[in-house]
Amino acid sequence: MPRNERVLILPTMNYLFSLLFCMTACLLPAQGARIHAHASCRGRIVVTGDTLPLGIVLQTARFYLSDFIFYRQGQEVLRENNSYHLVDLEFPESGEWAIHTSGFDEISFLLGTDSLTNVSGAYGGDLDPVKGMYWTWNSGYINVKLEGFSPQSRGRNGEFALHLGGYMPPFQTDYRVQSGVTSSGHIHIELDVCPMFEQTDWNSHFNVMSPSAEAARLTELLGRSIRVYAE
Amino acid sequence: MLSKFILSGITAFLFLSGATSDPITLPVPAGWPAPQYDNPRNPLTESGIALGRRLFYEPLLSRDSTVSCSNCHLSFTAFTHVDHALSHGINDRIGTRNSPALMNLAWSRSFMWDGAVNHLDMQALAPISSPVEMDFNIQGVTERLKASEDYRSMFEKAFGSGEITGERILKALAQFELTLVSANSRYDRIKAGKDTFTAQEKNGYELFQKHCNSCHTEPLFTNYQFENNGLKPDTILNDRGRAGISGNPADDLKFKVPTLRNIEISHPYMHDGRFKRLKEVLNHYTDGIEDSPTLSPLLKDKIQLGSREKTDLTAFLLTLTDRDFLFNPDFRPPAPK
Repeated sequence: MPRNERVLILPTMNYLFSLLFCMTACLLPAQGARIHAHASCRGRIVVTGDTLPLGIVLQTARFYLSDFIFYRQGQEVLRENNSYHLVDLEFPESGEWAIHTSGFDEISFLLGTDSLTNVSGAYGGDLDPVKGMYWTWNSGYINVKLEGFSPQSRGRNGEFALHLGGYMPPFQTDYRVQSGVTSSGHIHIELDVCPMFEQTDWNSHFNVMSPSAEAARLTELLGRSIRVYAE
Repeated sequence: MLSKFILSGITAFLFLSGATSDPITLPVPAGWPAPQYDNPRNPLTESGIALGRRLFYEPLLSRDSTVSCSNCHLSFTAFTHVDHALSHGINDRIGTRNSPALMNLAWSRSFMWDGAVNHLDMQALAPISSPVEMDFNIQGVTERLKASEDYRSMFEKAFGSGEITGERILKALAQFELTLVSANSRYDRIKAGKDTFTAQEKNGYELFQKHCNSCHTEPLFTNYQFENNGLKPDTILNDRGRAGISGNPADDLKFKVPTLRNIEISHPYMHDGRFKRLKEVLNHYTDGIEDSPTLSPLLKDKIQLGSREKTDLTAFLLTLTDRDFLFNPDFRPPAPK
């Protein structure tokens, strides 16, 4: 090939590669959606360290969202692979991820982790026990961990620690959320923690650290307070 | 003779796991049931087992780097803490239970005396975190190992990259522990037609089948159930056993039925190590049973054994000693680097 032709071809190839890269990196996300999972209290976004309207100071707030399934007109269009997301309010980016599908009108997921995951040995990523969300004295994931101070808590210095987990009946603590939603670019999953805090038994259940009826009750209150909406 | 059993999907998942050496099949002794352990995400490999063995003998797993798994689970004594009723952790802290002998773990449905742990992969989290054992955490262990070039190399060989995670630490430990198979005692050789019982052992075996086999079921010598075997509760330890995990009053004072394999070596006996000798154990079953609402129905009627029969029964129990297991060089501490 003559030298002058090679000079011409190289920029063309660079252009083509750039175009190809952009088609892959730029266009695909536009076809999908982006999840934004976060927590709120009475409509106000909360992060770790915030003082909630109830006077509660939230020091730790982590929860699992898992097993995402997307539907269109009742038909499943996508079941997310390795669908485990540990949302940690200390790191807001943990609640953000892309979904490579569009054209859905319904979304389904778990608050927590399913029982099979809890009995199937060691996992990595967000399920790695180094994340501090796996009990060591009794097998099972802590599906929701909320720690902090409440003026109502009879715990030491008003402390509370709600470690909500349990995968075996009658104290299962995963909660299935199913919600219609338009598949526009941004899907918000908002966990309002205050309805649960308003019904927490601050006299005797300010510490919940094992699978129990109280853990199941509090998880259900949280699950019912999840709102899914598109932006 | 050993038959071969391949963990389901082992090869298919090898690529996904990133393991770098060939998968090893878990041998299943003839006449044994299929193993309970079936994690296709953790295929056994030579390098994975070697890493697990190294970790099993690694004191860095404890807060002050003084205690490894092997402190309470010595290979020469069937991986239990011989002569210690209750095991001690760091700073001489005394635990609340006798360290269980470790063998044939692939067949176990749950772990710990109360069945608190549901999967072998996850078992190591309990001693690592227990304040009276290693008093540390898996996060800290991971960070310590990351600082070691040697470990990074071992993780790379075992899992395809030098990344050190909690998941990989637990999986490697499980791989080594799965290899702790005891299936070559005299009893096993007799069953295979390669040896014979003495008259005394034969009588003991018949007594065993009549009085003990319901719970200590052959060939693994446990039914993996939780039972209250009539031990008078220790008022200091006040250990309620399985009920502490299940919350069910019907499980009060129930503990997991332990295997009797290598029982000669794995003293002291019971969940709290209260009996030092087999003789005391047999005396308990004939004369020491304390009735309670959750006592095993099989022990409601007093077991009748004369002193001669106890001697014969003991002679049979000694045939469960597996010297190939106890002195297997592959189970000893790895050679220092």
